[in-house]
Amino acid sequence: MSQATEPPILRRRKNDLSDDIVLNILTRLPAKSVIRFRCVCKAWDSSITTPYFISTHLNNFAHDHDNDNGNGDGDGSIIHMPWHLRATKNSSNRAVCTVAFDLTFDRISEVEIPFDFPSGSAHIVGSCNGLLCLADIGNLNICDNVIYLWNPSIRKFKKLPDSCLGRLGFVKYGFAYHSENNDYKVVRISGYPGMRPPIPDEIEVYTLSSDSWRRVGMSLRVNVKVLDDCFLLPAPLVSGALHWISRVVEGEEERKVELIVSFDVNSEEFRMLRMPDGAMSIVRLQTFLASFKGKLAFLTFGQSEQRGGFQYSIWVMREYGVLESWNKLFVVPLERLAVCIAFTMCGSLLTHCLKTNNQEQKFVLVDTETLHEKDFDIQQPLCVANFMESLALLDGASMVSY
Amino acid sequence: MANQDAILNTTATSTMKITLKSADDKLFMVKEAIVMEFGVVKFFLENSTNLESTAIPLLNVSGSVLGRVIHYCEKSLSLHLILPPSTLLHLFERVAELILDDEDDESIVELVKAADYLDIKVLLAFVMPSIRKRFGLGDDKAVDFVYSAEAEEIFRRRATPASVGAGT
Repeated sequence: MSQATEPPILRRRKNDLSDDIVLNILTRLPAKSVIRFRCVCKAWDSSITTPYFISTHLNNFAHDHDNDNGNGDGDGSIIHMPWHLRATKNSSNRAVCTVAFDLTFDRISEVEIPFDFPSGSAHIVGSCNGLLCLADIGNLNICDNVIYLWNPSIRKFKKLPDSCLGRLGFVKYGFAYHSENNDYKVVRISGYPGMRPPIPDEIEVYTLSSDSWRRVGMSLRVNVKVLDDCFLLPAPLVSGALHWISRVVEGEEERKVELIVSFDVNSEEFRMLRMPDGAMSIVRLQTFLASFKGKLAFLTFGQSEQRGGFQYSIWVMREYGVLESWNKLFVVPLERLAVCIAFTMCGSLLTHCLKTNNQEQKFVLVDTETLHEKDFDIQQPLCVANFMESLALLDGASMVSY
Repeated sequence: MANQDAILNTTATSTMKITLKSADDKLFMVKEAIVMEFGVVKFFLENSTNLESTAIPLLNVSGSVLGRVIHYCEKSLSLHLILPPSTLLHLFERVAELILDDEDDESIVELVKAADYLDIKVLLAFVMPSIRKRFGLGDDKAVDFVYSAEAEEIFRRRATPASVGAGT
């Protein structure tokens, strides 16, 4: 046997951790840290970018943000973005989103938006598992209806392909995670008012796994038109379905009724839900839907039940699909006329008190449980969505890194 | 901001209502702030006392039209708040279109003529974009176009079944 020096062999010492344990530890670390650890070694890099690792990591962090058992103790976070991006560019001439605590809206950090929108204004369509869906506010030209999927934590985004419809009318969106397939879907509903004879809304669905849009029919017998007072609020995803407020023409007398329309993300079927009793009879200025601690919430803003002043009334559907379970949980009185900009999962209500001849505009954050109010120092309305750091789409095809 | 103060007054402390009477003698009790948007009536209101007991006659407007005028006046005022046209004009216009989708061609033209007759600027701003979009009129067409023979021709063409797919 030769005594020539052999190249040193890196040997694992007996008390080193096994691969399984190392990966288990990595799945519990924040997304930003995990991204950095991709450069530690090839084994780590290939493990981190597997779908299994990504979904395990997500499950570990999603539990912390799981509000289904009513634990909305406000340690979740939100991300917010101003409506008019052009007005808010930072020193590098990029528009910025802010990550903040969902109860207090106290700022945590800022994130630059790595892409632009043709009209200079965009809204957050939805947020699932740390993946954001942003759409241009939209204009008359089809090519202006630009949509991006973006995960700020891993610095990747993707622009969606163009619509499969021949034309787009007035559009409403929804963004959802399809848990059965570990996939993401974007729903676009396009309405064409003023057409005679009237034509129903056209619906298409984008699936990330197929990277394409596809028309979807609405099998409901009645003539449904999706109509919403708050086009810039995300459609809530509750019990695996997206929800919008709609106008339905029903019966032989062709009565017009407002209802909630839901789209089941798995079966791609539409269903209807009635609003809470008595909700629509009050004089109201604004009506919309939101998700509150995992349940469907219905909010109206209108005249106060007492003389003078206004109030927000908030109903929550305790048991999904059971109409009797609509429960009027909160009434939030307000002195000034205001428009709601956001209602977070833990029950913070962000309102825009409007400018009048005597008073300047201001933004007020109200905790619906304690009714505590606090002024919020921003200059223009925002879009708000819940947010978490995640590795979603780290393994995605055709994502752009920046 | 006249519009915002209008809606502020509409829903806050002032609950004073004024009675309007349509050409066919129907009575409507309307909040003062909404009535103040009616140019033709405003002069009358500013120069009269004891308004609560008089019914203001609106001779050219039928009850069915007046009811809709009041309804859309309120809607347009609240839409001004939720989607201010100063910053979100095209969203404002498209939502107005959605709201007005309930009106068929004849009734939306009736509405715009009533808004013109009653001099309700807020309502004209709300309805005109939908009229232009629905009938394919250029942006330069103001409300007086609606009375022209050319406009009548456009409405007539749209109304005939042979023109399905035409229009906007």
